[in-house]
Amino acid sequence: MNTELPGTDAAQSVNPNIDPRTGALPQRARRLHEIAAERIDDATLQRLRAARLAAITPRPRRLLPVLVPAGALAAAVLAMVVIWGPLRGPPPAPADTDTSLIATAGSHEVDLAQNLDFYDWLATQQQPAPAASVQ
Amino acid sequence: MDDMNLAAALDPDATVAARVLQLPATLELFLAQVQRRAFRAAEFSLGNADDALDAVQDAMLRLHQHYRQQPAAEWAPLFWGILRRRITDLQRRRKVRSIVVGWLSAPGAEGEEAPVWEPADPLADPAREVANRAAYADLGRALRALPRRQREAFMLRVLEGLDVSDTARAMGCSDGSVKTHLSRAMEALRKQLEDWK
Repeated sequence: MNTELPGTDAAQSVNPNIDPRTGALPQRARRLHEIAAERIDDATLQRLRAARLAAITPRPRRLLPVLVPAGALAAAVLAMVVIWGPLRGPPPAPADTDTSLIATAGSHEVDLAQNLDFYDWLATQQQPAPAASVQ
Repeated sequence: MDDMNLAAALDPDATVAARVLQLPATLELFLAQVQRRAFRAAEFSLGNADDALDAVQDAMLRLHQHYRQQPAAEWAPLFWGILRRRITDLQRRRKVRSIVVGWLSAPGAEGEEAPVWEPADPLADPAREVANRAAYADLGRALRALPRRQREAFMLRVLEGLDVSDTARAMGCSDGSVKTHLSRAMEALRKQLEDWK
């Protein structure tokens, strides 16, 4: 026969519907917990305050989650270019600078460039006297 | 000892009841009210002040980031639910770490710390202070010896004063499961804390 009154510790252990906050053990545990919560050393309390302030302070949008994937993508593209570029075929032979210049220039300009000395000399010559008028 | 501490020492039930009934006006106020008890609760479960601080900080951050628009009545179960999950994550991580460390070093190298209760109240009776400190350490050991769900039910329902439905929300289970876990926790604690009778 159970002689315990409702609300006592033993009664609660067999009947979960009874309020567990009553009884000697819960009350003492709660009291100790409350006192312990008040007795926190200053260093820990400072860290708790700092944590709270950090939690509620709006922070600027972090760029790291954006920059890291973008950087990884750029590195991957660069690696692909470096690896696959040479495999696509032999590189073209280095073109001769003069030849390429000539190839891009018009034929008249090439002639002019090759005969600069001649034109320079021609400019220093005296103008020939005008021919006598035909009478 | 300040007014709140004095009130808690004289009538802790009244303090818990007042805490439950009065909803904080802002989330910052709620966090300020709950931070000390949350730290102690995390310390009970983790047995380590640094890990407890990490867990509380993470719970505060997540509550503010994701749930600050929720009604004030929702904050308590949400916060304790987040903290509970964070504590579980840390415990699992520590378990993995201890396995790895156990392979590499001698057993017993990493022990749990007893909760630190300081500074002592200069106005309190020294003998009673010592007894309370020892009792608190016993409670911590007994709680850590409980299965995780039983410990969570006891801490949320008894120490934190949440009602059954809020406890169930924080634990992610039904009301009936809360009652079952709590009943078993009480039974185990009574056996372990026989000196408290």
